[in-house]
Amino acid sequence: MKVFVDGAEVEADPRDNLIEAARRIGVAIPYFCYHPRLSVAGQCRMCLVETSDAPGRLVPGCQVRVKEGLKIVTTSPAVKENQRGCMEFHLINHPVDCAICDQSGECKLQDYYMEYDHQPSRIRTYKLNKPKREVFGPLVVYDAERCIMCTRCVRFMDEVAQEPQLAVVQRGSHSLIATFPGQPLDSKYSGNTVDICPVGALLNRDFRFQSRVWFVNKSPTVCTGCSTGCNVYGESRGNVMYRLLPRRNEEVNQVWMCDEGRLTYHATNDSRTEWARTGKGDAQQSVGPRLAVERAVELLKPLAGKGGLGIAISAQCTNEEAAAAFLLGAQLGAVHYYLGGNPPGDHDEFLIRGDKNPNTHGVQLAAQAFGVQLEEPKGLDAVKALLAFRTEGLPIDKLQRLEVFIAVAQNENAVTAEAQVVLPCQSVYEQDCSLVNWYGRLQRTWAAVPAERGDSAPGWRWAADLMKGLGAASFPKSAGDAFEALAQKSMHLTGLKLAEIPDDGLVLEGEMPTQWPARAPRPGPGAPSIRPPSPPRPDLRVGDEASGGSR
Amino acid sequence: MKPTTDLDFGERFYLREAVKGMGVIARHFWKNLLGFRDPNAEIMQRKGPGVNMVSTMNYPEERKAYPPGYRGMHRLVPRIDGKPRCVACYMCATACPAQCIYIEAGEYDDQAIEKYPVRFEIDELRCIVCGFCVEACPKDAIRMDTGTHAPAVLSRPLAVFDKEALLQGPAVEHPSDLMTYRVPLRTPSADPTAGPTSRGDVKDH
Amino acid sequence: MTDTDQASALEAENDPLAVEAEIPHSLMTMNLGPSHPAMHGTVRLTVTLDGETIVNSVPEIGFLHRGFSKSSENSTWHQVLPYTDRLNYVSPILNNTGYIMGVEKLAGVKPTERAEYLRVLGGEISRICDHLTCVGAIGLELGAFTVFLYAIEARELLWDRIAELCGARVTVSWTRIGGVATDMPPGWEERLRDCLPRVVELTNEIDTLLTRNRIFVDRTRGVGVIGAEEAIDYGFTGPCLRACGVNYDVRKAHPYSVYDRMDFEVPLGSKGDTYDRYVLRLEEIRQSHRIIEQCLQQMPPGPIVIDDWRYALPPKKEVFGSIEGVMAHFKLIMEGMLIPAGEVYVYTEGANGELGFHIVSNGKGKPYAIQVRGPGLPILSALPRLIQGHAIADLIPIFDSINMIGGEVEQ
Repeated sequence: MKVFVDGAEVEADPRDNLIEAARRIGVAIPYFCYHPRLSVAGQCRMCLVETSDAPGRLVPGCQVRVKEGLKIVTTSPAVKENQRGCMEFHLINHPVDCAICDQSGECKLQDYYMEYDHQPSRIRTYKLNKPKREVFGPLVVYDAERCIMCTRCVRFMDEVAQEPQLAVVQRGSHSLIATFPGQPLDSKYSGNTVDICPVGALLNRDFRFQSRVWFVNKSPTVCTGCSTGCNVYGESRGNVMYRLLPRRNEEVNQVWMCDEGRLTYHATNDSRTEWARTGKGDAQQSVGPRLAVERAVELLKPLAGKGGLGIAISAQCTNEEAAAAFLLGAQLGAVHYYLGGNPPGDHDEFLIRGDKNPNTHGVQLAAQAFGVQLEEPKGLDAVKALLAFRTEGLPIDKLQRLEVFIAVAQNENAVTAEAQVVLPCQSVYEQDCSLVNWYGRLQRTWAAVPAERGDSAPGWRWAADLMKGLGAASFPKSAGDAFEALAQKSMHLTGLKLAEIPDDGLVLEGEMPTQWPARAPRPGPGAPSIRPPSPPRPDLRVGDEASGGSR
Repeated sequence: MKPTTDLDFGERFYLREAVKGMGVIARHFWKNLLGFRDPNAEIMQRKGPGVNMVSTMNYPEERKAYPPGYRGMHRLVPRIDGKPRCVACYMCATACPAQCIYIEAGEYDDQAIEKYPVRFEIDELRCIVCGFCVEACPKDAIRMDTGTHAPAVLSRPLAVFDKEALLQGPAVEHPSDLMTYRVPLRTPSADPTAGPTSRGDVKDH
Repeated sequence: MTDTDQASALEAENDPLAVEAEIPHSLMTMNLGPSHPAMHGTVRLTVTLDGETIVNSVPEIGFLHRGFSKSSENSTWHQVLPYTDRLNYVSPILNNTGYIMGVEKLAGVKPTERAEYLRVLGGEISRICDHLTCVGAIGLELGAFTVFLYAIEARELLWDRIAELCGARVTVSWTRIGGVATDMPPGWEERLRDCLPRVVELTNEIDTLLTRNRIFVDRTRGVGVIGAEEAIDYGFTGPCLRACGVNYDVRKAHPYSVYDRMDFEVPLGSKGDTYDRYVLRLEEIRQSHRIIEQCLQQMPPGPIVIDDWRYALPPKKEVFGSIEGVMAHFKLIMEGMLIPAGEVYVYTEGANGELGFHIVSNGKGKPYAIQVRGPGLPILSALPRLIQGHAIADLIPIFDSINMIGGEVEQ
């Protein structure tokens, strides 16, 4: 369907509204309340444009659908005047809060003000006082003064989360968003209301006052909270992560993510095993990576090929870590392999899966590829020596009787306290790697944290160092190498390279489940399971719909 | 400009010009020897008969006051109640070309202005005294009007001034403060999820 | 004995100089700088000497590690200003003005009338300071310490005025897109009018002490000569070019700001030697004084910065009290002024010649690239040519008379 935006011809989809049609050629029609994934409200009046259907009148770009030959004008004086007037009205009661507001820097009011208004207000009046700092729920705090009543959050809770916990109360300029009495905003998707809030009315209590948004780097990665593997942006500065924001992937998480996933970055900041060490208890000694690997080799060498050696792999491991672990296991002649991981948790019909590990599927595929039988970690009695790649789900009582226990671990816990050698492992957010989600989607992650932490290295590199120390001729030298080692053996990944995985992932043939949760996003009909090499990587640091900002 | 000419005979003879030059120097010499010394720091005001021409100042006994508007050492401006006006918006840290300002934000539980700096440090050795932080402050919370410069220190860490050291000088209030310092209308509800609205721990940024 | 040796031996019998040349000697290579009080900043000269005569020399820059261009790419448009202060640190206002004019040209912004006058006023004060430093130092280097003290006294007076005007003596960072940061404080004009006669008096005293003094003239006349054509070839601008008799002053040739409303002359030399460069600077001090007087006379009242919140920070009252003001303020500080994409070269008359800024913007809040045409670099490149054949003792006065400034030569 052909329409004309400011004179330029656009090939629009018949389902497009005027905003989406204009967006196709990069013409930005400003809006606050519209959201591509929510119903249309037409609240903010910012998107009014002129069309050939209604000459001399302004129509809301969010509500009006395109039709053949429609001419849309977004730059006429009337449109500009409306945009300026709109901004002026939206700002009448807006408090002078930029200095204390966390949204500064990704605030649509700021962006649009500079783009469409940039003039002093002509309105001189007292600002309305409304409740500030009202706690809505465990993750969300509300400031009614900053709110522009776009009702995105209300519509989100109604339509996407399907837990109507928010409502508009009062009338006119006194109206505000409120929760129901005795019912806090405790939905598992409440964090999304913060993302879609175009202003600083809803703020994330976890991120609040931690950093300014323009200080942090925004890098694409994949959430590790459950086996959905939501596409996210990790925001970090130095070696500290500050928050996760959903990244658009219609086939995995659309533009949403759950609250639990949002908090998974804490494991990257807190109680990390920073330095390679040997010995346990009082004999602990930070010796640096080289000596720690030497010590581990010293412990492992007598056991190689003798049996009694087990390798535990957590479902938190990346494909590369799993592949390297299996390579190392083959070299050592390990007899038992255990699959650990976080215990299952709650699940729902939308994004949250019960398996709280990002890569159970991937580790299983790798085990299949290497011809290895994965066992439950409670069968640890069968071995007297254990090499653990990530420590989730290992039974602590059975570790104490092991003769040799070496852990490649990300966080300090009771398990690492038992290890004779601890090799600090990078979190998934810190490495280039790949993961396979619950329905068999191979997804790529990129290092989202610019600075390194202590001695930490990806698990596959520790495995490679051990292989080298044990005298292997070849061992993976990069994440790509490790992935290739896996791809060579796996029937699902034949010929694939890590760098060739498309940015939004790729579906593995034959791994798709037959049972789908009712509302879980799934690959579209006829979606190619192995896509051709992707076009050059777009600049993923640019903000998307979900973050609500324009950075 | 006149084209530069060759020296005439008198000038080539050297003495005439030398005597002229001596005249200039002698005028300074005698005036300085016999005139009285006016210690006025404002050199142009050292006028009048009998005042010598030496514009030197006997530092540190005599000191020249920095002019108003001179960019001296920073101070954090207090509010009337003694708390810093600063709300930890990081504007100064953003505008600073030398990146010498370090801030950590925290939250007041009981005040309408909820944000404040837990730590506010300026490394006066890194500071290039450009004044951009003062210009960038949207709360008039940082000024460079102390009329002094950053003092000499014996070690680098001593040049890092913290919030307590910076919070000094007269309090400042603006009419527009009333808009932001008012009492909250409704206290936060007593529901189980209530508590501090931000994570208590403050990390490095 | 070979034929050639015989021939030279025969020649030597006829030529006494050749006899002298027979005396075994070798060239001496000597380092001046980089950290030498006479090197006017941190620059190193590797001088090859034959006895006392300079046979060859190689100037080497790069000891300041300025990195101006690269640093600028990581700063917002305003954050570049402190870097420009340090280009020619004796006349920072001229650099500030040159840079900000380029940004304004990109943005299509015209500064307010008063700001234009203030910039010219501040710039000419800076020019006087720069010339005083150069003139004082040239006396100092030829043994006339008195002259240096007089020049510095005059410069101090002016720097005190600049401190009152800008808030800092040297690193002023004073201009802003569309204007300047601070207006003249109350009473400042009178104080400036007070101290200008004293500056002129001191300049005249320097004139009396040096200009017709035979010792000084003998040391500078005919020393470090460069012809007009050659100077142009080297890329000379400013006082060094005008000392060769070429009438090129950006303020007259391509008037910018309000220089077209100023009545002043461009002094010209004739011989292009150290002496002419010295006399010309003295004369320019007087001309700058004239411009300052005219500025003070013509200065209109009005705002010192434009009222366009896309490029200039909103007034403080609006920032403290209105959401519109604080939003504009935040956007400007967070992202910098969004200067439209484009590329300009802007050239102004710096204290030592044409100060050019080549600025590229890609529409973001930070410059895409900035290059500086520091007036000192082409002139420094001619230094080996200027000092060749002179005695080592002449090197320092010649080097001073071109007034190379390390900060702008290095980028």
